Amino acid sequence: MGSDEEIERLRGPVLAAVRRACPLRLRGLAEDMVQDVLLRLVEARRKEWGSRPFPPSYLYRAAYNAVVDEMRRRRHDRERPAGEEDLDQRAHGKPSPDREAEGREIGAGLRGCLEGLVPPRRQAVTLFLDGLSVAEAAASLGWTFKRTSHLVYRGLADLRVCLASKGLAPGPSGGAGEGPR
Amino acid sequence: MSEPRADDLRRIRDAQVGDDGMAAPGCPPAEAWWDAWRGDITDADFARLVEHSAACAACARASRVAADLVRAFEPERFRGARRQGAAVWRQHVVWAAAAVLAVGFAGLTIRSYLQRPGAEVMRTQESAGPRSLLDESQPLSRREATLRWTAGPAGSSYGVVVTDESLRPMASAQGLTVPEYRIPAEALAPLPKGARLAWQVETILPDGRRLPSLTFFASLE
Repeated sequence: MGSDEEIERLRGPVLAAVRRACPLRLRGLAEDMVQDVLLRLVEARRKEWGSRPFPPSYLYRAAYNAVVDEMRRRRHDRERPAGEEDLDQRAHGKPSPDREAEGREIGAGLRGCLEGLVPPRRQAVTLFLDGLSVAEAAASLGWTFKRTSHLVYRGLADLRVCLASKGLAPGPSGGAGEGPR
Repeated sequence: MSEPRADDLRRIRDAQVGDDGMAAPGCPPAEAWWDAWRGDITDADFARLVEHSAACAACARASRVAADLVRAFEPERFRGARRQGAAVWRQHVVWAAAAVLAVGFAGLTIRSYLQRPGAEVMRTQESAGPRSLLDESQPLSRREATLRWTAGPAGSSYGVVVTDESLRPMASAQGLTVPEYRIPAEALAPLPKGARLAWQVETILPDGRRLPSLTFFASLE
């Protein structure tokens, strides 16, 4: 990867990663964030690398660091001023205060329930809820598929019971819903 | 077993990761997640990071970005893919280790069976004890299952113990004057085709010293 065009090719994966991971309230700014990340990479290339090609691994790592920095910076900017609501947020459907409060309560409940799981189940379920397949979670943790699958199923069941015991049983649009199959 | 359905719980987790918390002083540096997803850290260290991310939204965000980007940019390094074979490989190692232990245990069992208290045993290298004269790649005939080994000096006698694969003694003999032993057919009768046998022989020298062999293996036709 040695040209700005090649940097531009990072846009798709970086945008997808930002959209999935960035705070909900900033999700509408994902395109801007990615643009900033790519500009930073181009600038780094101009200042530090000249015409030398980026080693791909350097570029990927730099992209990752830039994304995380940018997400943290923007989040920090947003959290300081009260009432500085961005038009983009409204345009991208910011939830009502009640809905938001409910979501936070459920999120906190989920975290509490996760903490209550035994470590192997917690690890398997955390990776699964963060978007990995059972096979990927198994490979990541160095466990067998069978073991990981069992831990995920049992862990999800534990979570549902725990959430229900806290009176948190949200429906299909955001709730604890059905048991593991 | 199919992939579990947990879209609802994933949505809650998404919201939690998206909205809760800033990175704290105790959080690992963001780069740690990149290394983790590239498979550059141990399973134990990875598990510790996952434990942290379960409770830390900021780190869960960093983890997700790193996982997504490593998966996209360096799929051959992605921990969730390239280590797929590791667990299987590790299982093979465990089985191999178990097999080695079983063989060692077999040797110890047979040896202790052969050694009587007070007897002097010469514990030397492989060449000191009798050696098998059987070709281990050739199965033993059930009708003519004869074990043969190198002879000791004139006046030597021999003791032999045969076990099955589970180390259960099947046959034994002491005071043999020739370096061979025919396993009784009735001892072999319960064993299935292709069953593996372990056997060990001991040469008792004329002066009373004992020379145990290594443990040998044979299969039944």
